[in-house]
Amino acid sequence: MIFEEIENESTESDSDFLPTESEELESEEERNEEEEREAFYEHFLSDSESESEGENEELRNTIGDVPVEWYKEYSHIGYNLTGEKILKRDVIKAQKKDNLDDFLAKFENPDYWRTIQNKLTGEDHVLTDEELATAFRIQSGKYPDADYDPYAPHVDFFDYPDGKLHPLTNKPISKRGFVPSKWEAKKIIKIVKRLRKQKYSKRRTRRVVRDFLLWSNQEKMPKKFAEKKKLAEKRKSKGENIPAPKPHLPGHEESYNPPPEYLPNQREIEAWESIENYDEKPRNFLPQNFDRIIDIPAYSRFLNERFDRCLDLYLCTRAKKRKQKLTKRKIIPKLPDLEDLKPFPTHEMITYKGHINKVRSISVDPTGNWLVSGSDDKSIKIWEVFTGKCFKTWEFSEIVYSVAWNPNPETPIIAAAVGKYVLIINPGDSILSVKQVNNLMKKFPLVIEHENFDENQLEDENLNENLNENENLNENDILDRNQKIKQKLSQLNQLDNQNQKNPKKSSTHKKRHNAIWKSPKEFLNEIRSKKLIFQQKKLNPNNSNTDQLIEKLQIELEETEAHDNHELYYTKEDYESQEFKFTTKGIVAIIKCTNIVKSLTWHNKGDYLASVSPNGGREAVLIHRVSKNMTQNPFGKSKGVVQCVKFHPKKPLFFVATQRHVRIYNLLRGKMTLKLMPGVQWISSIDIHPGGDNLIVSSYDKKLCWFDIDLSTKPYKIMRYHSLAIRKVAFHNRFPLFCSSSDDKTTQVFYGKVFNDLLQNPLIVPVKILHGHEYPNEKLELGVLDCVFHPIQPWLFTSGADKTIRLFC
Amino acid sequence: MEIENETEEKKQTETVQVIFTTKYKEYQVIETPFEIPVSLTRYGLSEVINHLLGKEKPIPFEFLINEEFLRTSLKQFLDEKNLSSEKQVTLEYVPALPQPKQFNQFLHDDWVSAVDGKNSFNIFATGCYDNLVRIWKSGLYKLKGNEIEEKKPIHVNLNQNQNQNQEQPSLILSHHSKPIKSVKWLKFNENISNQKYHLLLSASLDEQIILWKISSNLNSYSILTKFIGHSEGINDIALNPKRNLFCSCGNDSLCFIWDINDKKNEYQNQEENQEENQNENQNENKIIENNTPIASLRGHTQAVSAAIWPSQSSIYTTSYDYTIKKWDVEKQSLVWEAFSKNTIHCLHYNQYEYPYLNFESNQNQNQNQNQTRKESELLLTGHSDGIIRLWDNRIPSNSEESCVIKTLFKSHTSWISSLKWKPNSDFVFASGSYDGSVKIWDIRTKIPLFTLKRNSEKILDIDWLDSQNLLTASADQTVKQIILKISN
Repeated sequence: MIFEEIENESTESDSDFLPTESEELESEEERNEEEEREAFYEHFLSDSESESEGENEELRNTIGDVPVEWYKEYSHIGYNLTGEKILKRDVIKAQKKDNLDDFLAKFENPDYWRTIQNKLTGEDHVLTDEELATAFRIQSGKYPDADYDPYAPHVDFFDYPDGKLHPLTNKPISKRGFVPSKWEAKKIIKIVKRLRKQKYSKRRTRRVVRDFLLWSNQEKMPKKFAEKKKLAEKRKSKGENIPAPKPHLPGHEESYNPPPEYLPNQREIEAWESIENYDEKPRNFLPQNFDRIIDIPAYSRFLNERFDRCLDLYLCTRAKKRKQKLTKRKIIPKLPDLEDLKPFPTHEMITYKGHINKVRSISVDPTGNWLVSGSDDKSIKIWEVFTGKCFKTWEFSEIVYSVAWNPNPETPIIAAAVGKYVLIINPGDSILSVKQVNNLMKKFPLVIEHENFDENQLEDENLNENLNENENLNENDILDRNQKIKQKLSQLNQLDNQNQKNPKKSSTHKKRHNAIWKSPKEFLNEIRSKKLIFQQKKLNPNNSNTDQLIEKLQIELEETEAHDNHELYYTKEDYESQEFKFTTKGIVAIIKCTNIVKSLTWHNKGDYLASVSPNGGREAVLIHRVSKNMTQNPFGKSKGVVQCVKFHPKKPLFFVATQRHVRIYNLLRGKMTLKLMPGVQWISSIDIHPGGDNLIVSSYDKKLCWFDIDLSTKPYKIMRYHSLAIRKVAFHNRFPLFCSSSDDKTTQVFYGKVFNDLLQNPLIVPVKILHGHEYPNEKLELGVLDCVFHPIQPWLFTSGADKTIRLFC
Repeated sequence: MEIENETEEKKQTETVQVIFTTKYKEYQVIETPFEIPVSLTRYGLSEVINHLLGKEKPIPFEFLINEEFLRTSLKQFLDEKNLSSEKQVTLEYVPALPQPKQFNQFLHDDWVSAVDGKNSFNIFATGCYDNLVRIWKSGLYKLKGNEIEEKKPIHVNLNQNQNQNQEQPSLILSHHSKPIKSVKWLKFNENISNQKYHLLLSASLDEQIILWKISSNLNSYSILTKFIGHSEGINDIALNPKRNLFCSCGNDSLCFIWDINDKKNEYQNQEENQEENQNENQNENKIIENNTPIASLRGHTQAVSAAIWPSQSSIYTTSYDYTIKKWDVEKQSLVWEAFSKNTIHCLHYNQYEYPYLNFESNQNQNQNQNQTRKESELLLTGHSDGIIRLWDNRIPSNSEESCVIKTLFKSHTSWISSLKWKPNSDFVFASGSYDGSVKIWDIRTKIPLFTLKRNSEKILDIDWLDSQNLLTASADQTVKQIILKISN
């Protein structure tokens, strides 16, 4: 093959390089012929030039082969040989024809219609008859030449002298076809040399396409195919490639020898044949049985079927089915960047140390400068927020379960739940500014009472001292003392009676609770009287005169104390001992409830105070009005063990959380409006968003539920992030933050933004877990007991069982 | 053979050519380049300098390359900065700040919240949470050269001192009804009716600022003026350079500017009148209540935490509302403000020549020098995240925080409570924090030079007595004197 090609290529070039003798001879003849031809042309050219010069010497315009219009603006038209302008009027005589001349010519000149202008020379030309005839013929689509016969018989340009037996030329075959080519030999030698040197590259050989597996990836396939395949795959991955609908695969019935059950019976055949239209037939063929493949006849509807298939391919609408690639990460909603959610508390900054037992409850003053804490060490302390300095301490004989600072900055007083007592405490001049004290005086007349009380207290103390002095005297005075005691007790009884009457008078509606308001003066007198009795007993164990009285009083005391022995300042033992230790200074009012009060909540306006004693039965929730020394019981019967209550920040709504449910009461109508079902076992605390439409509920079974009150009675979101019971939840007043504190020693801070747009769900993002508190000992797994946000800054206070309060900011 | 090997090894160790320069004339060495092994640290370099100086007692030096302290070996430093070790390196050296040592402590009855002192008078005042202002003039150690000399107590009985083995305040001023938040010496040895008095300002949570008049021998005191105007507690007071005005900032988010002199003149007149009347009752009747500040700066939305009055016309205040504001005093308007991301608790300004230059005759020369020094106007703020931020206020900007903050100093773990530039220094400052530590910093390095941590009680205030004496007031009820002393 190769050899042949090379030979073919070389045939023509051969003659150039290697002219044979005969060729030399031929070329000589050709040369002679050419010389003759040149001589002839030279002669002819010279003739024609000389003729044209002679004829058109003057008339000729020299502008060349361009329209005369181009020279419209000029007076000349080209230049002659001497360089002078050839004027237009010399060349074109009737050149200046205006429309009038043209119009006149139209009537005067009989040849006007056959006159045309030569655009090259600008001359008028009258068409001859012949020219006209030619023009007409062209117009009518005929051959311009009248003589031309398109249907003339075909005459070959050469003759066949001997019929058609002989070739066109009678040239004898060239000799060189029989002589081996010299050039070829050279080329072969060259190739052989290269082959010997093994330099002959494979590139020269023609590439042979081998067989390959089109659909395999590993098989090496030619580049061209690989690229095509890649492209196809790329399209496929992009979803651009839509596969053609797959044709129906043949089943058993389409077999040439189908099982007998597929063969139609006579009736079926008739039914099939009765349908005329092929499209309406249940299938487009009848199953038939043939013994051999060779017996199968040609399929008459083959073309129709192919056509239908083509129709399917291009008419069938092909929808792209996009498969979504879902990964776990993609499904999880994208959390906003933490930097955008700042500020929120991150680091522990100040530790407030001073309590000697677990700190149950904390509360921050509305100005953000003071912190009050109630502890199991039976004391209340006030701290300066910015330094951690303890400014004040009150000590009692009962555990302080709850403290709450009045949220109204104009009435900065503290409510504290100490045992069965709810105390209203005036933080005092050392903490309040002058303005605040003045405000307080205006708002709460109680405070004034307290101011007066200080003097009384002094009197009392004097009296007491006198008594003590008396104790040092002889027993002769005991009678006097008894009288004094009698007097005092009678006074006290009167006071008590008054006291019990007063609330009855003030509240016109029937009394539904046993809470008693007492001024500190009355309270102190009570204490003193009790103390006196016990002292009496101790001093004169055998004095028969006093015994009766004492017994009576003791019975009374025991009756009043009933079952549990909750006293504000003294235990029974304390009464019997001589020690005086009470810090009543600052206490404005004392409300004695029937059960241990565990939680306190202020209304936002700072007048109403709700107290919760979970075991109180129908007196579990009491609402106290501080400005009027009044207590109300909003509920006639108990709905369960009340855990905590909250006032709505704006509307007259009241939230009561029992163990399983949160009920919302309308205080104006006195009816329940909504019952939220968090689905938890035991609610520990609730808090309401300052906007009022959202609520968070924490439970002892580690759940934190977010409610959208307008949305549903079921939680919008349940968060289980703590490993132990959640004790407290709190919202921030200004920043979109809330937190939950738990027994697992951590407090978790969340970003919880509520949008004004009703359609947008609140955005809740956990932002920080705050560590810091420790277990007081290994056995007691009590972590963070209370958490409160700073009213202005994005700071968080937490109190723990490890006796400390911590500030995170 | 062995020797040869060693020399070869020495040849192999990398060296770098350095030039030692210094601004201290007494420590200057020849300015010829030295070949120094790269592995040397500042200790080794210090030895080299000491060797060149031929000092008997070696002095520790700090080394600066391109205005940055060398804290690692030369090689590490060069590697970090991508500097070639083949080029010549200019090493500036300064004598190292001596290791601070605590020398004496002054016991109080309660937390000490404020301290202000001046060593040239050997006196300092403290404000305490027990509502008392104490003046101390005994027990301060003083440096004379490199020796520490104890100033003998002047007015306190020696025997008593020995018995109790603790310092007693020379004078206790009581009038405030709530804890003191700030004390500032106003003037020393001021002539009032031919007697020399010290004047002291104290601000308290009881919404009052009291101007005390203390006789120069610390025998007696009286109240000159009460400034009442704030509706909540006062956090800080700042005196103007002329010391006739001061600015008070309170929890009620207001700053008031008060005039001292007017009232004082009135008082003098009154006093003269009274002297004419020969009523020598120096009772409370004499106290003037000044209820009218000459100006108020409104703009902060929360409690103002600190203020500083570096030049006659401008006041800087910081607040818990995260802003620093610069005020024009004469126009009573805001010049610019900068925003932070945390509450700011304290600030200090290094242009602010803090104590008493205007009335100290022996420092007049220094004063002139200092007035000409206007290289840097840098503002330090201490934040609730324990980070000290250095602001360059020559680029005032309201837009972005980052373009103003120059450096962050991170080392404290709790609130910064107090910041003070070292007097007569462009670079060194001290900071006190609630984590109980006092740190001394140089702005050319981000690591504190020294950390002093005695206990975990909060540091509430610090003040430089002079450039080598630092007083720290803390919640452990003491004021401590710390001396930066060259260790022998």
